[in-house]
Parts: sequence; C-alpha cells; structure tokens
Amino acid sequence: MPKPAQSPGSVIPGMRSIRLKRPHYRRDYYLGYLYLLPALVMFITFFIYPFIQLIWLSLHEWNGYDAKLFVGTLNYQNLFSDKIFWLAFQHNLSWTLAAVFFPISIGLFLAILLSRTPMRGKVFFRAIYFFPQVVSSISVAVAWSWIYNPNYGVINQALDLIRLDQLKRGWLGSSQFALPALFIIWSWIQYGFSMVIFIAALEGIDEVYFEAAKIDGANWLQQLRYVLLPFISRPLTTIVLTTTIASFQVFDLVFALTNGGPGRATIVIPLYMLDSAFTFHKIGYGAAIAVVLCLFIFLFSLLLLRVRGTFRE
Amino acid sequence: MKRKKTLYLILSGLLLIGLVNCSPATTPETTPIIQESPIQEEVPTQPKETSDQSAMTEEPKASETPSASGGLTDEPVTLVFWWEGAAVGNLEIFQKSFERFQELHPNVTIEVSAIPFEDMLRTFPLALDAGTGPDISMSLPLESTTFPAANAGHLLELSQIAEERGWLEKYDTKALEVNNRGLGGIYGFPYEWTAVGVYYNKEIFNQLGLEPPESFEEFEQQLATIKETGLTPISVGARDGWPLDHVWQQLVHTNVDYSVLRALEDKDPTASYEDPALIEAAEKVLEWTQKGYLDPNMLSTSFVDANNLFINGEVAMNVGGTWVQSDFREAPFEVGFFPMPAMKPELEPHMGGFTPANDIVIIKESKNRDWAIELLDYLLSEENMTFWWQSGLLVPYRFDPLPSGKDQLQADIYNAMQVNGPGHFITVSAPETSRVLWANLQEIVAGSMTPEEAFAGVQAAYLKEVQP
Repeated sequence: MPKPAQSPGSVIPGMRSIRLKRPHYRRDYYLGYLYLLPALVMFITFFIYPFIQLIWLSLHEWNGYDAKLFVGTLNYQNLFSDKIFWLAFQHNLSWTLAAVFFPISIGLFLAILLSRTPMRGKVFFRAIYFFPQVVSSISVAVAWSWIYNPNYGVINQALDLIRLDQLKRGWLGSSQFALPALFIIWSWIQYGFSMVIFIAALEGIDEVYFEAAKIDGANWLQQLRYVLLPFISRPLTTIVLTTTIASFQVFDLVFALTNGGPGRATIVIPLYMLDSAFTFHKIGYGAAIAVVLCLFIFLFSLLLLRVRGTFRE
Repeated sequence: MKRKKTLYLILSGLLLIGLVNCSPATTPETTPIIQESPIQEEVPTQPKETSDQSAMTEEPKASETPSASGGLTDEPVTLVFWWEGAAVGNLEIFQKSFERFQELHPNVTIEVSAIPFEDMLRTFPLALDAGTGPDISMSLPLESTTFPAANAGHLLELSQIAEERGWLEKYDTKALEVNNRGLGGIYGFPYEWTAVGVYYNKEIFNQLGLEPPESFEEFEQQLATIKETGLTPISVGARDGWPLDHVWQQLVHTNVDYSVLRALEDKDPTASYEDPALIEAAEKVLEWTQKGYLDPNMLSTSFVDANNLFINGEVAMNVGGTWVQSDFREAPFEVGFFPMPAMKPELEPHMGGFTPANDIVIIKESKNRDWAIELLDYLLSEENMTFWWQSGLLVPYRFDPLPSGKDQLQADIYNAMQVNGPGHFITVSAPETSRVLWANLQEIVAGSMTPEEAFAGVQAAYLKEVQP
C-alpha cells in the first residue's frame, strides 16, 4: 500500500490536507490572522509607517517650516564626515561596553544573593533594588543632580567628612568625570531590571544540578561557570541585547543633567539627533542620524544573536 | 507557496500605501517677504529719571470695551495662547492681563500653554506645519522661530492692522526694527525689552563700601576685593551653556565695535568669530575664572542653581537677564543692577543683550484670527502696557509721563538701558554656531581649549551655517 503524501507541517502524513478541507479548520486558520490584525495595524501605524517616513525625511532638507527639498543621500554623506556625530558615537559605544559589564554583573550578583542564599527580607530587597526602574527618569535626574552638587551634594560632603576633600569636584561639570557620573546613574536604574530577569531564571534551575556539582567537588566558581551560567544563557542574551539597545538610546539623563556638556564631554547620539533636528532646524539631517542609529542597533543585535547561536552549537 | 505569495502581496501593498502617503507636505501659502509697508520710524523720547519708585502692582483699570471689528461675534470662542519664558512671575502677569480681557469679552476663553524654550523650538514649527498650532503666541525672536515661521507664511503680517489701530503711536518702534529686521513687514510685537547686566547684592556692597562701578578697572578691583573676603564674586550657571555665553557677550559688547557684531548677527560670510576683540573677551573670561572671580563650580551649576546662589546671598553678583528680575525680587536683601562697564570706553556704548524679548505673533491659519487681533490690540493698549510696567516688565512703550514702576530695581534697569543703545545676542541668528560657541566657552574655562582654538572652531561652524 503506497504511503500517503507527507503534507508539510503535519504530524501524520496527509493529515493537514484533510484538516484544511474541513470548513471549521479553514475558518480557524484564517481566524488566527484576523486576531493578529489589530496588533499588526498598530505595528504598521506606529512603527512601520513612521519608520518609512523617517527614511523619506532623511533624503530631504527641511527646516520644519518651508517646503522639503529632496537632496538624496547628501545628509548621509555629511553625517559620515561629521566629527561631532562620531564623538557622540564613541561616547555611546563606551557606554555600551561598560553597560554590558557593570549593571548586568551587579544585577546577576544581586539575583544570586536574593535567590540562592538563605536570607530574610528578600522580597523587601528585591523591591528596593527594582525601585529605580519605576521612578521617572527626570525625578532620578533631579535627585542625582543634588547628590552630585559641588556645594551641597552628599558625595562631596562625605568626602569632606572622611578628610578626602582633595577628591571633591564638580562631578557633572568635569569633562573627565561627567560621562562616568551619568553612567553611574544609568546603571543604578538598569541593574534592577537585570536582577529581576535573572531571579526568574535562577528560580527555574533545579537544585539537583548544584547538588550534583557539589558532589563532584565543584567550588562556587565552578558551579557558577558550569551550572548556573549555561542555564541562564538565554535570559543573559536577552538582557545584554536590551541593555545594549537602551545604552544607545540614552537621552533623558544627559539632557536633564548636562545637555551634552561640559564642552561636548557627554554628547550622545540621541541628543545630537534632537539638536540637529530642532535646534539647528535640520530635520532631514536629524532623521538621517536616527536611521543610522536604528541600522546600527539592528546589525549589532543580529551579530549578538549569531554569536550566541555559535556558542550554543 | 500560494499563502506566502498572498502575504508578500499584502505587505507590499501596505508598503506602497505608506510610500504614497509620504508625499511632500503641502506648505501654507507663502507671502512675499518684501512688503511695501515700511515700519514707522520715530525718535524715542528722552527717558525720565525715576527715583524712589514705590512698589505698586495695579491691575488694569476698567475701561471702555474696544469696538468689535468685522468677524467678531458673541459666540463662545477659545483662544489658544502659547507662552514661553524662564520667569514664572511673568506668566502670572500675562494671566492677569488675560483675565482682564476675558472680563471685557465674556464669550472669549483664553487657554494658555506654558512651553519651555527647548520645547518651543521643537513643537512650534511642527504644530504650524500640521495646523494644530495656537491662535496667538509668543515666538522666539529672530532665527529661533519668528523668522522661519514668517518666511514660511505662517504668521499674519500686521503693518496695516497696526496703522489702523494706532498701535505704533506710542509703541517703541526700535523694538520692531530689531525683531522684524529683513522680513519686510511687522510679524511680531515684542512685549518687553530685555537686557543682560550685572545684578548685585546691595547688602554685601554696602558692607564692603562698594558702589556700582563706573569703569571697567573699578569693576575688576571690586571683584578682587570681594574675592579677598572669601566670597565668590559672580555666580554663573555654566552647566547650561548659555549663561556663560552671557558673561562673554557682556564683555564683547563693551570691547567690540558694533559693526562687527552687526555683521555677525546678519550672517555676513565675511564676518569672523576670530576677530581679535572677540578672542580678547574670551581671554578675559578665562582670566576671571583663573582668578576665582567666577564661581569655580560653574560648570556643574545650572542657571537655576546659579540664581539660587545669588538669592541665598552666597555670591555677590550674578550676570543675568532682565527677565529674571521677578525671581530676584524674592531675595531677602535689596537687589541692584548695573550695566557691565566698558572694556573699551572709546567705543559707542551698547548694552550687552539689550534686545526685544519674545514676539507676540498671530498665526495666519488661526480660525479665530479676529479675536486674536482683538487680544493683541488689548495687550498693546496703554491700559495694559501701564499694568505691565507697574508689574515690573520693561515694556517698549513711550509713556508720557512715565508712570511709577514696581520698585527701585526696575528703575535701575530702566536707567541702565537709557545709557546705552541696543546691543544684540549675536548668536541668535545662527543657532548651530551658538551651540558650538557654548560648548567651546565651556572648554575654555575647563582649560581644555585655548581661546584661539575655541574660536577657530566657532568660526568653522559659523561659515558652515551661513554658507551651506
């Protein structure tokens, strides 16, 4: 007896074609697309369409008032020779490299402490460390501007107290320290998010794996390396990806606290994009910066996922 | 396979719809820039000496209801007014004027949106382009928003209306000349003169036996005297960039020939930011920084923090604009004001930053244009101008006689303005250059750039901006 033809996607050969011949299965099949339609419309309206318009704007010169003038790739050509853009890119890149390490490792450390150690008040501490995530970034900026205040700030006053007043400085006004000072605030906000994701991942690891490792003589570092990290590789990739994207989009803290200064010590791409578009009345050029930033984040994300896939193999 | 084709067709269709919709936005009808209605020129009347001004803030008195012009009805109308300004006190003054107007016209409701400077730069053009803008608005002067909005045809040209309504009879037309220069008509009425000068703590000055300086050398000696007491002479909110620019421009306006500044303001490509006198002013700023005359933490201090240092009595002086006088009135001591003494007294005097403030403009596309004109008519009336003057605003109005003002501080500022003629903010016409200048001034005081290097950078940015 000849075998029935294997239909794609079917468990039992021939099953799918039989299913689709029945009206209610066909209805369910198309109903799935119907359920997706509202989300698809929203996605197209609020992402695809504006993105297409952004690309279109980037091919024009427009001050926001007069008619748009088509200039082709001129904005992109100017962008690639723009020293301030590359300085901002450098700042964002440094920020990203530091972001991959600091807030993520702090988040992992706190997650291990708050899930794998016997301690009281875990829920309380989880809430405390997650709290910066839910506070508005402008409120955070105002609070930290006081912490960093050269005259009244807690940091300089503490340095006075411990007789290290030679280390006092205007943190946000120093071209050397302003960017790290902003990064510290951003890390303080971000590590709570990492912590929560890692806690969820850690609590899904069966304890038996750690016990087996202990029996085999593994110390805590070996347990971390050979048991814990492999199990959290997926959420780790996700966090690295989201943190990287967030680090390239950092804007509110810089805008509120330094506006790219002193000099250009803290200029970042989103801020430069805003200035170009609305302060310098070069909306097309600002759009070009946005497109380049999007492309870069997209390519970086692809690369990260590819690297992760290679490691898994 | 068939399903994939269908899906690709749908996605392509959506993409096509998106591209078709991305057609060039229709621009509003543009009015010719060159108009035939010249701005009326009059010689300003001599200023009156004001002394011992008593603090009086009076609400406008009841007056006759202005006659309705064509297009005005008794139907309920909501006028949207966009307000921009750093001083909250000024918004309160405006709101009292609006309340008075609404008393006179009960069918009119005025909705005020207070928009910060940076947001106004962003939202004003987009709102005008989308047709969702206000009916009547403050507009940032010169190249910030007024010039591009007027050139794009979004603002109502007001010369004829001004003549019919008699607005120019007592309004100081010098303010119009500055803020409508090159537009070929009147598109905005500045509501106030502003200037930048030196606010000082009279209590500290009295303790040290100091008086407002009459020469630059005397001023520098006073800075040294104050510094010797351990007090910081001048607070500057250099973190925000533009306050440091104000300090530099204060020196520029007393050190540089007016023709040089005018050329830069007119975006003349042959003008140069590398003029030695401009660099000399920057060197003076650096010298003051190194001597500790300017707050050593100024790069970490915002504009608001710098003002608070002054109000709290922790510094003796603040280089600031007249728009913050209402905030400085909150200080627990008497505040005085004097113009920056001239670095080069032989030059024709012009007070740094003595320019008209934001323009009040009427949006051409407004559906309530007639009522917007009525509101502007009221705001420019003698009744309202007197109220604004007595509230402390430095209105460009030729009072005769000058009514008593708010206090001695207002009198000090008014007198300072009479001594010198208008100067300008030379970078307002070139916003990209101004940002480079702010950043480079910060680099100078941080010691990471020499003035020559800094101004070479500013000049490069200036040429790029004026010769695209």
